[in-house]
Parts: sequence; C-alpha cells; structure tokens
Amino acid sequence: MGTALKSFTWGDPSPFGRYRKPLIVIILSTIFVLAFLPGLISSYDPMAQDIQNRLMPPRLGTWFGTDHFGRDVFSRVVFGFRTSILIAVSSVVIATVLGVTIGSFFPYVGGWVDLLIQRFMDILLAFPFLLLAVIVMAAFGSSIPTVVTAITIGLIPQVARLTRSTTTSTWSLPHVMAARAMGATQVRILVKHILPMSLRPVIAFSSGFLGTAIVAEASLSFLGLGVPHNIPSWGTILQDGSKFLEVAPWLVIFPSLVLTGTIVVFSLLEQSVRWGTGSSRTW
Amino acid sequence: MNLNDPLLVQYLRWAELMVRGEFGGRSLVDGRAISLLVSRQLPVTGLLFVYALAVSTIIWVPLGLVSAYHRGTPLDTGLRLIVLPGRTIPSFVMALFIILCFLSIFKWSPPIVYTGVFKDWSNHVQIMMWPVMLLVWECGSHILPVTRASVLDWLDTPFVLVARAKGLSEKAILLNHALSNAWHPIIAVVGVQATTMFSSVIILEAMFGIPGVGRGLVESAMARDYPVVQTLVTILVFTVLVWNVVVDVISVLASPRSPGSPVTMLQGIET
Repeated sequence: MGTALKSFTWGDPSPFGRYRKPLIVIILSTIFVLAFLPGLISSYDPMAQDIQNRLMPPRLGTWFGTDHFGRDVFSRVVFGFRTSILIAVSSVVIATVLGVTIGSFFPYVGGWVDLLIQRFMDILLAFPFLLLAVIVMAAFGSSIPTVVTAITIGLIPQVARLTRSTTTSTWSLPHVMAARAMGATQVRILVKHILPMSLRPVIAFSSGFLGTAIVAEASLSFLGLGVPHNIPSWGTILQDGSKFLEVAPWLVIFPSLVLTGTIVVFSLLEQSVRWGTGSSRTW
Repeated sequence: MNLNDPLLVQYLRWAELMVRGEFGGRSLVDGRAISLLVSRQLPVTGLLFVYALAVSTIIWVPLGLVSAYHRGTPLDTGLRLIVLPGRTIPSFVMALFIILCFLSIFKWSPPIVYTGVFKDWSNHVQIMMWPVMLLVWECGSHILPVTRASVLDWLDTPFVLVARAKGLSEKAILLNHALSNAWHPIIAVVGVQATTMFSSVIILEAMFGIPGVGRGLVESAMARDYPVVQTLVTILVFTVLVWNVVVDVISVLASPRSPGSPVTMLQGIET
C-alpha cells in the first residue's frame, strides 16, 4: 500500500513494489474470471425480475440489494463488468492497431496524403472526447458495436499522434539508414526496425486508455446513449438507481464504488506497465 | 427538408443558413427555430465554463506554487491526494454522491429550475455551485501537478540561486522569478482543460438540470434530432478552435521574453 500510494502521488516507482508480478497475475486472472465466467460469482440471472422483492436493501445473497424491477443488483454489476471490459478492451485494441498503422505508415508515404491524414486527425482532436462519442451514438443508434466505434474514433487520433512523434525521430537513426543502404524495402524497415523501437511508449500510453474507455462507456450508458437497456451495464445500473436515490441509495452506492475501484485498479495497472516499459508519466 | 436535392445542394443550403445565423433551420421534434434554442443554451454553458475556469485558476495555481515550494513535505503529498479523486472518479459518480449526501443528510436537493444571475441570484448560485465545484476538482488534478512541476523547473535554475544570494525575499523569488517564467505550461494546461472539461459538462448539465448546450445535445441526440445535433456540434467545434487560437496568443503574450507581455511591462524590465 505504501508503494502504491507513493506511485499514485508521484508517479515514479512501480505501484505494486516487489510483488509486481504475482499481483498483476492475480488482478488479470480476476478480470478474466469476471469477464468470461460471471455465472461463477453471481447467483441470479441479471435480467430476472421479481416484482414482489423490488427495492430491497442489501442482505445475504443479494449483496447490493434489488432494483425497481426486483433484479439482483450484484448480479447486474458482475455481468455489467463483462460489458464494460468487452467494450473497453476491444475499442482500445482496435484504436491502437489503427492508430499505430496510421501514425507510422502515412509519415513514410509522405506528401499530400500524409498532410491530409494529419489535418483530419487534428480535426478529430479538436472534438472533446465525449462530444465525439455522442455524435456517433446519435448517428448510428445505441448498440454495443456503435459504442465501440464511438470510443475507438475518439482514441485513434491520440494514438496516431504519439506513434507519429515516436517513429519520425527514428527514421534517421544509423541502423535504419544502414538497413536502407543494404536495400531493405521500406515496409521491412518499418516492421523490423522502426516499430519495435517505438512501440513501447505507445503500448504504455494506450494501456491507460482502458480506464478512459470504461468511464466513457459508463458515461454514455448513464446518459442513455450507450448500451441498450436489455444488456446490463454499469452506466444503465447507475441511471436506474439515480431515480430512487431517496428510497434506495444502495442502488447507487455499491455500483459506483465498484466502478471507482475498477478505475483505480486499471490506473495502477497502467502505471505498472509504464514502469515496466520504462516510460514514466511526465507531469 | 428537400431531401430529394443533391447532397451538395443540401450542404450549401445548410451552410448558407449557418452563415446567416439561422443555424440549420428548425428542430425536427418541436419545430422551434434552432437559433432560438442555441441563443438560450449557449450563455448558460458559457457561464458554467467561465465560473469553473476562473475558480480553478484562482485556487489551483497558488496551491501549485505552495506545493512546489514545500516539495516532499506532507503538505505537498496531501494536496496531491486531495486532487487525485478528480482525475480517477468519473464526474457523474461524484455528482451522484453529492446529490445523495444532500438528500439523506440535509434533506435538501439542488433547485430544479434554472434561473439567470440577475433574475434570482441565490437560486442561480445554488444550482450552479455543485457542477462548478466538480469541474474545479477535475481541473485541479491537471492544473496543480503542472503548476508544481513547472515552478519546480524554474526553482532549480541558477538565476533563482542568484536571487536568493542577493537576499531577495522568498515571496519575491517565487512570484517574480519562478512563477512569471512558469506561466507557459500552466496557460497551456488551462486551455486544454477547458476543452476536455466539456465531457464532464455534458453529463453534469444533464444531471443537475442546467439547460445548457450539453444537455441540449444529449436530448436531441436521443430524439435523433439531426439538425439540432449538427448545429450544436458545428458551433462547439468552432468555439474550440477559436479558443485554441486565443490560448496560443495569450501564452505568447504572457511569456516574459516577449516584449509586449504584461509581465515584462509590470516589472519594467528592459528587453
């Protein structure tokens, strides 16, 4: 805890100290179990309604109480994690792959194509993140693929810009020039020499987007623009709960604590990745 | 809506409306003129931004200075810990907790109907206070560390050592030597915060019932009211671009090396 606090406040050492590897394994396997086998932990169907037992306070079995349809909130939170992690991981992975491709390939193509792409990325960067997501949701309607698209579009320009700045400086390094002199093709140079060198900071950077994506998905669903209502999601759980603040505060308290805890865990993981890749936070 | 026309003609018609200030015609939902909608919503959100930015600059820049000056002490760590939740906890969760606390402890909830400053200032303060406070908290988690780091950079320079050797007071060193040079990254981060803050503004407006652009955007997005969404987005992105230029100009003017900077003029330094 001491090192976690220190790395959280100063951002320098690895947050997990010397237990880094076992702790990361534990965290990742917990995430894996929660995401792929939610039925192991929750004992109820997240969509099963029980009108007689609605808005019940937490007790044994229904740990987080029940909502206004009598659905078990704990099960909904557990299943909502699957939605969150599915959306977060897929949007971050897609955004990283596309961002790295755009950011490394087009500077090498150069010319007006590169300029055009760069300006387009600048335009996307001018949009506040959630505004862009709201536009996409408004245009395509709410479904999981749309949410992934909405978050991905917001993340791509950031990854692309970082990749661009880390790769362009490596084009003139001696061993890259040597490879070119030996007659290696541009694509080979890009894949064999440029990308391995510049990917570390990019991966560290995009690992931080997992938390951002989780918050974005929850925010969109909270506003009613995200995941459709027949799929449990933390945003919709909180949205439902916020209508019963006075009579059933537990509907909001526990899910939001879980959400906050998840974001803290993800930012510690990000810090650990940054530490592992040797690219500490600069602030 | 002339949907039969070629896309280019439709686009040009829309662009003409935008330029003439009619902002994309009428809403699809209730047929009201969009310009009316915008002229009601924009000032509200503008006020929210002005409050949040002003308060956060006034609070966090001096605290960043304090944090830099007392680096490594419990005061420094404490300030950092205060600011951290603003970065980690999503704003709608914080807002839910605030509303919950007031409801259950004080049996009080923020007013539901928004009023302007001049119409009923106490109602205005009551409804704007909490979103502004949350926005300020969020800004703090970016402004405070940047101020601290930037001031620290300058505190380590030889010319601060010289100033200290001359026997200048610590206050003079901090304000005239460190802070006046450290403005550049601080202005940059305040500028960036103003745009990234908009994500939280959308949510907070919807939660606290503030009839601004953010809530308008969400409502029209849910109703699939395309002309309204289009107009609001165009105006917002245009505002962001203008704001970025303004921030750039300010940061050039505030640099002590530029001859016309107010800092230079105030200190009467020959350049």
